[in-house]
Amino acid sequence: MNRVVENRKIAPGYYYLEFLSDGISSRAVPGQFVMMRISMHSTDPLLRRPFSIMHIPAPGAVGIVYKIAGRGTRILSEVIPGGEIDCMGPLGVGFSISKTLKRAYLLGGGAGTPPLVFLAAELHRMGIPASVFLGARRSEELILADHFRSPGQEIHESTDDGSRGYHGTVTAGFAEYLRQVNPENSAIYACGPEPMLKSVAHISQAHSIPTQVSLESQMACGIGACLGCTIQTLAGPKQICSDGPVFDASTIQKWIDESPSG
Amino acid sequence: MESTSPSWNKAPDLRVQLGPLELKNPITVASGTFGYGLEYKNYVDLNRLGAIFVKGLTLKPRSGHPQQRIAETASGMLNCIGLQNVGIDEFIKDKLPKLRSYDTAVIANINGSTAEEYYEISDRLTQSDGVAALEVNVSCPNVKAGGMMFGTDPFLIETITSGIRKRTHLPVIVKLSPNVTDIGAMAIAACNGGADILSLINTLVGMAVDVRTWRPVLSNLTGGLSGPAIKPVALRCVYETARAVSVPIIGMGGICSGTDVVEFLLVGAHAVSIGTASYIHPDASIRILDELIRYMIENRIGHISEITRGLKHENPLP
Repeated sequence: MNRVVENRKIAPGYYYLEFLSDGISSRAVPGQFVMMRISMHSTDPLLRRPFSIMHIPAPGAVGIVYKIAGRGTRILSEVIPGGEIDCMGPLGVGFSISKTLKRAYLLGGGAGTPPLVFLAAELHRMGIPASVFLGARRSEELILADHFRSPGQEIHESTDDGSRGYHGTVTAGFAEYLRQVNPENSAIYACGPEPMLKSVAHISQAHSIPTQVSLESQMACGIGACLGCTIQTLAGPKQICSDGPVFDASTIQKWIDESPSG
Repeated sequence: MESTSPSWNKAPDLRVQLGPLELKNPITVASGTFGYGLEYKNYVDLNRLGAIFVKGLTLKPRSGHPQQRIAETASGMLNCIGLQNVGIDEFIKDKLPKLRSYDTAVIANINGSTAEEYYEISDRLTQSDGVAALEVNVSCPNVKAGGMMFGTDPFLIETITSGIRKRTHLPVIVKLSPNVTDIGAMAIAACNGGADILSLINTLVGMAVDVRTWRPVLSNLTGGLSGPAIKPVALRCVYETARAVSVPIIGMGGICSGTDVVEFLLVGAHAVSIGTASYIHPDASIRILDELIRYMIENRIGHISEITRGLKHENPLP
């Protein structure tokens, strides 16, 4: 059981939840996730829900940001501080960061932004500069921008409706930016909706920039047993929960099949 | 509850004899819900399990159906994994040697799209070291050829069962589908084919629909329903099977607690499998085993077999 210390709305449809867990807090690395049971004494909802870890606000504590997507997350939004949830983790394989990296490009789309906060903190600790690109449909959904303000980190915002920052998708803004810089010794880290990640994969392929993406899926177990979250890769079927959720974008089979360069 | 057992004050005896197969206790984990066992080794002391039924195996590796493969429903879940597995060669080469180091029965769940494929897999596993029994899956609802197509036709069930029976010395378990009008008739067919043990139920065929897109939620249109939602159906199926045949039964369907196990034993099961519950709590099987032991101590039941077929009713189980 894990005590909830904070659970509040931060944007329309988005909530920040902080809970206590020494095990998760001390072992988690950026890109990993937790499986959370919401209704403690009921079989409905039955399954745990996966949430990526947004940050470790203090030793012993873990923060996530979630979007109301259905009945489970609506019930979660009603948990009051002091209440209990049941969290398993940290799970999965997170982002890998090369010590020789000169610059990291972080691309977050909407609800996919949270794990990049954790990653940006780790990059800052390692002294690797980062350029952060955040996109959303409209400015109110441009969440967590304030969490990327460390020295050496520049932030580029974009909205589909043009209400803030670049008018267009985060990937279109990033593609324009790339034309003006030398991406040598850099790496891309992206998390967001699948069409965005596919587009990132194609951009990075064109510029030969190593790219890691964090994928999402429905999951039942979170530990590689149920095979509900399989993704086909160059190395065969992989589980998003236990082989990922972070993958090398150039290995995702369906993006290769749909690649503009064949 | 009164018990005639004189041994109630000792640790209860959990050993079960399923025809030719002896298990250290009646708590097993169901095929398809426990990977190849190894996925759970950090969460579960695998040595405490009565048996591990590994993920359904096919002759060649299968990558399964596209996303979306699972959908949550009221107190249950649908899946259309599509028998994704590493194939029989990889299983024997990589998984089986690792599983052999655990003190539990490893039971291979076998699948084919033709009778010959079932026979070939059966031969390969019979020649391998470390398989305690074969579970013949004639009830997978998520494959086009084979699977449930075999398991809803008594003639095909008998043919495949007897074909495997003739080729192996291993105990043969036939896994039955609940998606039939008369499960007792399927059980009789499996026994006529020489099944030593029956396991039931596989999942119930179901569907989920997305009102935003007006499309089915699952990529394969339908999927198999599991979880607490199906327990009443599973209990009825085990009861009807126990009325129809006398071979040992491994019962399953939505088991989440020690008392759920007792219910399955009362209606005719000799052992049980834990399935979907392992997704919610990876160590559910061990907790359920401990709850069963506590139930037996509290009710002064010395041996697990005292519960099996114990249902009190004017139509008692034979």
